[in-house]
Amino acid sequence: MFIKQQLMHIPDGFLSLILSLILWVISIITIFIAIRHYTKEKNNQKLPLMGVLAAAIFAGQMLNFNVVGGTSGHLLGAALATILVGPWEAVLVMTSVVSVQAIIFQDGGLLALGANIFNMAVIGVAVSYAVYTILNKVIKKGKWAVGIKGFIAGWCSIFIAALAAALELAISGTSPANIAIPAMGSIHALIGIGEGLITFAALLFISTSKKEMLDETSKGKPVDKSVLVGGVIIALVLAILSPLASSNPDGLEKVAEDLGFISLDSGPLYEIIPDYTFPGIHDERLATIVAGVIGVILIATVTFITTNRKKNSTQEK
Amino acid sequence: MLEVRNLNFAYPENPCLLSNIDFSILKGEKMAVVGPNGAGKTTLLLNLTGLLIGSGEIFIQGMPLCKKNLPAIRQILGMVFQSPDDQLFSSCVYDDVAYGLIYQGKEKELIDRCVLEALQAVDMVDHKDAVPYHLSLGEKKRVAIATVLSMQPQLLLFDEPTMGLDARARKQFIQIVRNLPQTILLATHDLKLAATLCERLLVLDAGHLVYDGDIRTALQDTAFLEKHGLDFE
Amino acid sequence: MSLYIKSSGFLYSLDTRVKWVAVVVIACIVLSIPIFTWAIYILLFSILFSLAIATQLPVKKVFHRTFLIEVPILLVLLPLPFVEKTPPYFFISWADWYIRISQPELLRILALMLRSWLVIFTMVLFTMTTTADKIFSSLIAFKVPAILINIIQLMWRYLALFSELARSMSAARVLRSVPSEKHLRNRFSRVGYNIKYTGSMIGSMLVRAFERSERIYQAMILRGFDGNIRTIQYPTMQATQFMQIGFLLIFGLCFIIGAYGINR
Repeated sequence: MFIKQQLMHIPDGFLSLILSLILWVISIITIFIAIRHYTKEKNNQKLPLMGVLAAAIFAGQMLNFNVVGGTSGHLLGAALATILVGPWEAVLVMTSVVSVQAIIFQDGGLLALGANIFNMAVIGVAVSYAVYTILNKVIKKGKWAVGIKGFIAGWCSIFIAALAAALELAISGTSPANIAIPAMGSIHALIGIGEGLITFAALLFISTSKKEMLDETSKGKPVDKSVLVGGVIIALVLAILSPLASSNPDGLEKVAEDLGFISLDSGPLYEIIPDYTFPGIHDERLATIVAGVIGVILIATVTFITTNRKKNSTQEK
Repeated sequence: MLEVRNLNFAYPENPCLLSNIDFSILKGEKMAVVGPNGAGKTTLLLNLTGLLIGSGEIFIQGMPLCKKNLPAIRQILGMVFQSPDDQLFSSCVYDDVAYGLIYQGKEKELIDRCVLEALQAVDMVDHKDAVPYHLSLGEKKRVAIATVLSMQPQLLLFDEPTMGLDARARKQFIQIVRNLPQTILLATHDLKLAATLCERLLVLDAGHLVYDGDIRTALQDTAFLEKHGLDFE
Repeated sequence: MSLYIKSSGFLYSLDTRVKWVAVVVIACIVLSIPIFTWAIYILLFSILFSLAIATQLPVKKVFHRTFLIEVPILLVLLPLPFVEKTPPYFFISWADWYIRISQPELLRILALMLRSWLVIFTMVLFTMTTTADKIFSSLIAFKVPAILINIIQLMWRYLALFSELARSMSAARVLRSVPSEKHLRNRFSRVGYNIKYTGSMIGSMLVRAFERSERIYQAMILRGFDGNIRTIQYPTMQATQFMQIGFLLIFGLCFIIGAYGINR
């Protein structure tokens, strides 16, 4: 139930090792800053709020709704979390959701988790926050104001995060930019509408039934300028870079190769490990055959021992 | 043990949730607060814990309830919430029961012993490592009581303790509470439960205290009960 | 809700921290070696599979779970063999026209999927033999901030409750939404109805989350919560566990070096 049709969780093996590590580092730094913010604020009530909200968003992601043509859409929730608890707390909420999806439900990879946190919890939140805060200045009154702001923030968060994921795949050499970016971009431009509409409806529901929940980002609280600027920059860079990269995939590949992200056939450690120290078999086919034989023997032995032991123990009983 | 003088409480949007409440409880007494839904029972309990602060004076074991005394008072006073899911927020029963003790900075061995004793009192020792979500409502309720008992309070507040319990779980609950030596204040709309467990009764209606006295006398006055939305049968 | 199966056996007896290291080591091996090192994939798979058998895990369930995972990102990969211009090709011809499939590209995609599948297989073994609670609380040993762990634990605690709520609300929706004629006729208004309903359900779940968190906070305060997170000390690692971790690291290094040896 949880596993199917998750949005943009990148599995392991689709990103180059170096890029995964870089994104891990960025995510970890962001998480630490978020925690620093939470501790500084000394609003202890937010701890249970973040935990329970993460649970609600996680559960909300299970609710599918039918879109035309047998496809179904569902929620990511970065925009909702940002609007309800503020950007830094939303980073922690989304990090928890994405991490548990990867660890317990194998949704998205383990080494790729850094990238997934970066896309959904960092970019998704920063972009939502930037869009929502800017719209706050533009749309002020009106029955549907909150909902409309939420819709746009939700759509942007999905679309930009998907562009980021596509760019990461392209930089890793997994899929060329002229395929990855249009494919991910167009699918998620559609999925984003679903996200936006749900955010819209959910926010309208909240504004009629428990308005004080929305006070966090709408009024009273000063705008967090660093997140605002960060979100705007991320959104602009990705929005400009993606079409450029997809119209010139070879250029991107060249850049990625120069930076050491791609080393497709040889593996990322090829340069580091020197030539002459290698033990092992130098014929690839022979190695595969030997490995196959060893594997079969290993599995057969373990199966034999285990079944024997099982038999013995049942006999003893 | 507990003394409440002229307690008033109001939310900005909802005036007069409690007005002019005066009562006191003696040590070892078991008392029930009854009233229809929305009478202010939960608000009263939350005021006694200091989670909500109204006007008026509250003394617990002679100590006035104020910010300075809160840590001391929270050692004396424990509250069992209506929904055990709100109270069992850790990932296993042991952690939940130990939570308060960890915050008191107790030693590991002492924590182990207190947790065990508390679980024994509610007959849940076998479920020490269980996940709260997997327990039945009655079991959760008992664990919720243990989380409070482990801190060895002298005054226990219960908010709608039998809500949603089946007959057997209700019986178990009554058994457990009967054996507790603590002073008990029980907020419920279940008059039968109040009658089995308590000697004294407070009736709260729309934020006003309309009765304070022996429970049997009140139960015989059907007109009075009717008037305040209560029903004994 | 998690995959955990209550049982005993070799994988169960290992310390959670050791298992974490094992998972990361295997992921690192799989993801850092040259992509076509089939020998290493085969060896790793045999070892993992033997471990599953030795622990007497239900093999069928393990496989079922690992194949259930559906990755929409695969959409990005699928067209590649048809458009890439790396020879040699397979040709599928039919009457006048043909499809050209790049052989190395197809192989590369298979290898990519095999890699991610191997890591998923490892994770499935891990989560089948370790409770979610242990997995989270052991994170403290890897210097994951206590606040984050606490949020994750709270989330895990209430996730089951909220997904039950989501399920019952969905059921209520299905029971109630006998579509009126208008909905049947107009596809768009039907989608609109669905979205509005789902949005309201999610909205009401969020409202409930908000209210519940208020009560949880009260319960925490009453038991002395002061904003700092205190937990029971995680037991320190024993010599055996250090040895196991050391073994895993050497094992990983051997595999990686071996892989480069084969492929050079």
